[in-house]
Amino acid sequence: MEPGEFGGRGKVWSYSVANFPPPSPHKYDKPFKPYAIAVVDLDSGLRLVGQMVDPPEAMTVGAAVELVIDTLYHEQDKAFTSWKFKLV
Amino acid sequence: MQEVAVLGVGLHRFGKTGDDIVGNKSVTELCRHAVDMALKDAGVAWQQVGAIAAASSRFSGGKGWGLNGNDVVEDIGSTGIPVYNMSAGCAAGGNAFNVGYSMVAGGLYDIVLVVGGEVMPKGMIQTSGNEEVTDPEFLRQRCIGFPGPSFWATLARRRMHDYGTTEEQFAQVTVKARKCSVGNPHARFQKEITLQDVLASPYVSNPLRLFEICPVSNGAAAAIICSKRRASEFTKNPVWVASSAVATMTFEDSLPRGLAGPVPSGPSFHTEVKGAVSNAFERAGIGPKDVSFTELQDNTCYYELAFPEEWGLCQPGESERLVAAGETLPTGRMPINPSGGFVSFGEATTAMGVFQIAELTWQLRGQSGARQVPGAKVGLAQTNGLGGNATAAILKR
Repeated sequence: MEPGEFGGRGKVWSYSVANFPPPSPHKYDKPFKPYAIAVVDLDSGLRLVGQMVDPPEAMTVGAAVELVIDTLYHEQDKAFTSWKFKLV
Repeated sequence: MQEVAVLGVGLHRFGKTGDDIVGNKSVTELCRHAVDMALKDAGVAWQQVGAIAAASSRFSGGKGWGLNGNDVVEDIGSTGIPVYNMSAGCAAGGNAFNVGYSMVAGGLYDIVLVVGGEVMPKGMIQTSGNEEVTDPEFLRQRCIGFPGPSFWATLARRRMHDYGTTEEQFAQVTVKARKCSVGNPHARFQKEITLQDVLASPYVSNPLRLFEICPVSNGAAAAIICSKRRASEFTKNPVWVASSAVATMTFEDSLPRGLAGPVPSGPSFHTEVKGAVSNAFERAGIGPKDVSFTELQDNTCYYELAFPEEWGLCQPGESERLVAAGETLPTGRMPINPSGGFVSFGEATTAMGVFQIAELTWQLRGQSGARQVPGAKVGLAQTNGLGGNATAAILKR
C-alpha cells in the first residue's frame, strides 16, 4: 500500500437532493435548506461523494466540478467545514 | 444435500406504531402471531421444531443484542432447541432463510422455523449510531448528510440520464404496486392511488417522492421449512425450495455506499444482488425465462425498473415500457411484486426476506386471491441490506 494524491477536478456521475433534513448524526444550520449531493468521478480515478455548494436547480449529470472546503454548520460561534463540490 | 420444503408460512399484517393494525404491540407479540400462523399452516407442533433461524434486529427486541430468535423461544416455549440469530441489515430475513435452508438441506435438522419481526422507529433510518471519526458511515452522515433515500435518488437520477426515464414513469411503478396491494389482507396500504396522487406527493429526495419510497413499518413473518424426508408426514404437495443463495458486493460495484471508491470500468449496479440472484439461478438450474413472478426489494420504485434488467428478466432499458403495458402486473408476462411490495407494505426491515417467502408460498399454492399470478410455478425472492449483503431464493411447485 502506498500513499497517493488525487486532484480535485471531476464530473458528476449522478446527484440527488436532500429535500428533508437527514437524521442525526448530521448537523446543519437552521432553517434547513435543501442541498444537492453529488457523486463525482474525479479525473484521478476516484469516485467521491460530497455536498454541493451550488443550488439543486443548477445540477446536471456530467457537469464539471471541483473540490472546495466550505461551511457545513455553525456551533458555539464556530464554523465547521467539510469537503464539498462546486460547479466549474 | 436433501430437498427442502416450505410447509407453512405466517405474517402479522404490517402497520405503523399506534395505528389500528399493530397498535403498540411489541416485536415479540408480532412474531408470536406470525409463528402461530405458520405452525398451524404447516400442521407442525411447536415441540417438533428442531431449530430456529432468526433475523437479528438492531431496532427492536433481541435484548439489544439482536437475540431475536431467543425472544421467540422464550415467548412460545423454551424447548432447548438451537437458535441462530442472523445479522445482515435489511437482508437479515433472507439471510435467516438461507441459514435455515442450508441446515435442513445439509441434514442437520428436519424442521426449522425461520422468523423475522420489527417494531421500527419513526422517520428515516439512521444508519450509524456511532459518533466515531474512523467510521465511514458516521463521516458520511456528519460531513455530507447522505440519508438512505438520497442514495436511491442518485441511482434514479442516473437512470433518467441513461435511459431517459421520466418522473411520470417512476410514479407509474407506485401506481402499479398499490394496485396489486388491493385485497392483500397483509399489506399496510390496500388502496389504489392515481398518478396524480403520486406526483403531488412531496420530494423526499429529488427525483424520488414520498409515495415512491417505502416507509418503515412494524410487522413479522415466519416460515416452517422441512426436509423432504419428513415433509410427507405433513403434506402431499408442498412448495419446494429450488435454491437459496447469499452474496456480498464486489470490488467493481462502485455504488456510492461509502465516501469514496474507484471509478468502475463498466456500469454501476448492486453487485451483491446480481451475485445472489445469479447463484440462485445456477443452483436451481432455473433461468430468468422460467420465473413466473418475482418479489424484489423495492425500497423505491427505481428498483422495480432496474433489477429485472440487471438479472436478465428483461432487456436493459425495457422496464418502463413493460410497466406501461401492464406486463409487471400479476397477469402480465413479467409479474413483479404481486404482493404490492415494500411500497405497499412498508419495510419492517428484518422481516422482509421471510415476508417474501410467505408471498411466494401463497402464490405457488394458488392462494393469493385478487393478486394471484395465474398458473405460478416458479417464484423468485430477493433482498439486500447494509454492508453489501444480498439474498435470493427460488421456490417452485
